[in-house]
Amino acid sequence: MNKFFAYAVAGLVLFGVVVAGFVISDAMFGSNSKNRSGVIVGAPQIGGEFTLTNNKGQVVTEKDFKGKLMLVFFGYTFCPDVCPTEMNVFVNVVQGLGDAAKDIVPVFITVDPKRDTVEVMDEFVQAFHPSIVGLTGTETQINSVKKAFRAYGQAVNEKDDPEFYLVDHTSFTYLMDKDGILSTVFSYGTSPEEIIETIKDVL
Amino acid sequence: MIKFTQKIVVLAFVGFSLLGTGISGASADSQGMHKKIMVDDAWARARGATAKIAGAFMTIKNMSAQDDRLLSAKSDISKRVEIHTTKMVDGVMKMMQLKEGIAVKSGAEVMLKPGGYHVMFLGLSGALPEGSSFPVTLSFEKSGDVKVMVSVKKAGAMGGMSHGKTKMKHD
Repeated sequence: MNKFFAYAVAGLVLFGVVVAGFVISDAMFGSNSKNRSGVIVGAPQIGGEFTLTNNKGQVVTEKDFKGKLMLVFFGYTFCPDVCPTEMNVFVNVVQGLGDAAKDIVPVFITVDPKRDTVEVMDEFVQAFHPSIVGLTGTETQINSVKKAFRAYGQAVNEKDDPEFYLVDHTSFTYLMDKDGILSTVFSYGTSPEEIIETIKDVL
Repeated sequence: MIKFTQKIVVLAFVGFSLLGTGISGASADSQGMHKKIMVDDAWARARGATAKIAGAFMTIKNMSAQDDRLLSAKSDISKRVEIHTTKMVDGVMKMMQLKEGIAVKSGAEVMLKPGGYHVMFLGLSGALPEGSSFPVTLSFEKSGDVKVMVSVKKAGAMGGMSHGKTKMKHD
């Protein structure tokens, strides 16, 4: 009788493990149909409503970008390395797209609204390409857009260095379709050529 | 509290090391033998008037017989100059100061380039226009001070394309 009980428990545990395995693998690979190198897919519910201020001082929402693709990167202008590098990728994408560039808006959203004022943002994005839109906002607005995009941005040493603190930030670039729905997430280091190809597929 | 104590220890260590290099650098100067560290192709990205920070990249070669270390740097263009690196951890970009500097082994070459090591300028006193250049003094543990001219390239420059060897002179 004891033996039977042990087998029953073992059987149940095994069943549980198999079910869990199916659930996990489905969550991980379920929507992996358009997988390609450097592209992360299957990330759920990214994007949505936001209200921010662009680098010309105008209040904008996600509705202002409807009808165009959005290429979104989160960073900060006090970043000397990664953010200029990604802006350079944006420039190459815009230039490489040629005429199709009119259907896409490259967007740089700051995770450091305290220092990245409209003026600072304008000078930063203009230094790369006039088509890049810089978005800043109140701390609450930035927190909410970070949440919508599941983006991370956290000052690391603001107390020790209130003037020149560093900010950790998400390194992904998001491609949103014409309805503002996530199309693709590119990992940092994805080549402009690959981004251009993906954009052409979506257009 | 522990962090604070650690910081004091690190600062004291850096301070003493700097004192040490100052002395060895001076003696090397007086003997005129300091072709030990070669710095090539030092460049930075253009920055506008509102920008407060900038990064510089370069290639450091250690031609001497002993291992060396880039400990610190100074320049008139900013309030502070620090040695930094960029690391990606789980998709998050983290930049951090390297208080212990960057080791350059004997005979080795270390590249400061986008996505990795860089010399960080904090508190720029003005814009860095494309095409301009500015001096930086790099302090090495063994080889002392090395003065380098940094050429400013466009805002989104990635380096690679050399503008030729950077002219440099030693203190």
